[in-house]
Amino acid sequence: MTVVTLEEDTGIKKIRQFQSALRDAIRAPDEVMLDFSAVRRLDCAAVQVLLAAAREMRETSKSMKMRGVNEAVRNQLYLCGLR
Amino acid sequence: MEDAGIREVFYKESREILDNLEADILMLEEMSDPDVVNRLFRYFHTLKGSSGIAGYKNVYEFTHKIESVLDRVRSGGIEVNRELVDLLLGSLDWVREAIAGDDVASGEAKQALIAKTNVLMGTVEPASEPVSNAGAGGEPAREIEVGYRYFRVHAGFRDDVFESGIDPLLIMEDLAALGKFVDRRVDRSKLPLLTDMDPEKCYLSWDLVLKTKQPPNKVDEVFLFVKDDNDILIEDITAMYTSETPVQDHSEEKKLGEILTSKGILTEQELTDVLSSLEKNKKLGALIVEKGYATDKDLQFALNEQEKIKKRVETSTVRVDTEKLDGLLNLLGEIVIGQSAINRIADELDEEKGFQLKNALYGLDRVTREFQEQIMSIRMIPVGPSFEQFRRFVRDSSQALGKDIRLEIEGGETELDKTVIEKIGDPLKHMIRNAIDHGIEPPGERESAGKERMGRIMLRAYHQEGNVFVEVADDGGGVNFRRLREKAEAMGILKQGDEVNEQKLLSILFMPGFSTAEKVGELSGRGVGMDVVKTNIESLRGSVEIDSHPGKGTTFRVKLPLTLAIIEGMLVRVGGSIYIIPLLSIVESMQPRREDIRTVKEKGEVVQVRGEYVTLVRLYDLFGIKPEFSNPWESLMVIVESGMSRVGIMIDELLGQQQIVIKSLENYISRSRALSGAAILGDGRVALIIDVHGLVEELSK
Repeated sequence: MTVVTLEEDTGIKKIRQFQSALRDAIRAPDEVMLDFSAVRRLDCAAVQVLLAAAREMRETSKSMKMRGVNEAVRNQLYLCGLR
Repeated sequence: MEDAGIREVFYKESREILDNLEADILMLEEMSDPDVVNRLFRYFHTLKGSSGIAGYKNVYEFTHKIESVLDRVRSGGIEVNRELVDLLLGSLDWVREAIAGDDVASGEAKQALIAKTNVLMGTVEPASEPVSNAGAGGEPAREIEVGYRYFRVHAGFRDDVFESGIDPLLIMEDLAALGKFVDRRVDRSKLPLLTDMDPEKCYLSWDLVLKTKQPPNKVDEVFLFVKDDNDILIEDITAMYTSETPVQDHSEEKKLGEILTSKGILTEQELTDVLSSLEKNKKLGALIVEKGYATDKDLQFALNEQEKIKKRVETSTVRVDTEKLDGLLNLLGEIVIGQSAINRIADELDEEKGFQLKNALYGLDRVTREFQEQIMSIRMIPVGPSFEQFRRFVRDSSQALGKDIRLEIEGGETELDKTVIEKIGDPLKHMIRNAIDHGIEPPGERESAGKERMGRIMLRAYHQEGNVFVEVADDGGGVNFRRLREKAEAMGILKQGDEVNEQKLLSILFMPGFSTAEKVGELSGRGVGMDVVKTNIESLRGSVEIDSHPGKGTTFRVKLPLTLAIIEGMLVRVGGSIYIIPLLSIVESMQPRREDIRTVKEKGEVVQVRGEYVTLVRLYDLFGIKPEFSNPWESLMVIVESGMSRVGIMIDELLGQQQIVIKSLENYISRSRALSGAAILGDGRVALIIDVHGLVEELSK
């Protein structure tokens, strides 16, 4: 399993870094685990990258799991239509 | 189920309980009866549990205190006197006000009542206990009132919006904080592939319907800094929601494509593409998968969603007063009685006329049966919605106990008579509470036992053999048989050295006042509950059994009849009286041989049937009537089954089977548990219905 650990300030400032981390993780053959433990909230830019990644994972029938998602982030993901 | 839905259920339920409470408290003033105290305790216990679920924290805390007082009364620590009755009545009034949302006088009244409680209990609590009217308690009741506005919001952002330091998600969160989204669509069609996307650009837009109590300017203010150079549209659509026919999205049947796009699985563009290339006789779902826009799993998810929405549409379209349905069913019962009367007359006519009349009656009979099935089907509703209300309960209660528990629901589409559904809510709540409190172990304990940290409670419903089964299963530690035994011995239910099997031990859990919990928990442990479960379920002509495996978990299995109103019954005659035995309970009927009848110590008279001993019940003895035959080998025997036991009921004659519309027997007519009701026969005679479960219970005493 490939684990991508999100940093506390994952967002617009480090968005390209996050994008490439997810891109690499998707290319890996095994399933992806996103660790949100350090994240208190996300911004729109980060969620967009996540949405795009989730869509591509779905297309390749690979699963993307999340752990350490707090209530605020859960609500944010919900607001953006990620179930 | 939404919060308002839960509150509404609670509101209805509590009103009934409060009415019963008042009568019982007044009865207590007249005579100090332990049964009444027990009942009062249960009522407050139920109120406590449901108020907790519905979010009335102040009612929850308060009823917990009253429950403690009643527990002390039960154990003889507090005397029943005027002072106690005053306190109880005052508490009842306070709870009533708090539930109705009347918080003007509640704070002071509550403090005074708590002070009285403390005096009775001999405890002193900090006088400065916060009055939580403004909190979870007072709020919900007001929320049920009107005063909501609905706004349709479209929020599309410039792709360079991030550059100006604006986070659209933050704006959406601010909007969400104003109320609740009753519809939410996120347009992700512009979102490029991960590799192709410029992550510093904004690709998302939102279409939402917000339900809020805030005025329009508050909604406008959220978009203050973006409305000029972004695509923001706000429309007040309150009128659409308050009209006679609400235009709510979720009450309309949705198409599969719409669901897939609203869940973000499919983009609008992809959907248009699929729809344009859709050929005749080809299914949309299949094409979507074929084109690789969604996986089979996504599709299944969307289909399930569609099914759910459809169910919601179906159930929400039935708005008939249940009393009218009951009335209809009763009238139908009268028609059936009339029919059998005509049938009897046909028997007495000359052959030709009788034949003609009977033929005409067959046709009528078919129609009435169909009619009856139709009425019954109106009364049947899926159990799903009432199961859903437990999700919040499981979540909140498990968190309060520091446990991690997931509630899984299976068979929510199983249909059951509305009356039955209404009445199983309470017992189910008790069983779930029990599973949370005693069943599932704390996360650490689970891990060291090699289990997942998260516990699982499964609420399952299914049809089997003309009954509905509802199971509450947990994957916890199972019943500790050793402790159960110790406790039973300490309470004098069992003697040391008594040999009992596990099933018998488990049945002790249903005795009033029995609990293995070490301490009284917030949720359970006072030993009230499981006996309520049993009593409530039996009053529905159902039964409950427990299955427990150490380390693996416990399953409560409730068996319920499909309906309470009609049974398929076998008419039997004993002397001049006619009795009805529910067909579902009958295993076989036979004439016993003289040599098979014995008397066994502690079991009484038994008949040997294929190597098994069946207790013989002489109905005429039980009901004090004169039979035609008093020797079992001359009479017939109907073998009935209840749970694990079988008994043989001795009768004079089998008259035939018939659909029976049950008329209830008031308590003062019969105190015998062996009877569950009565029916009127075609010739106007009354036949009593035998309650096989009650009969077996009565015999085992």
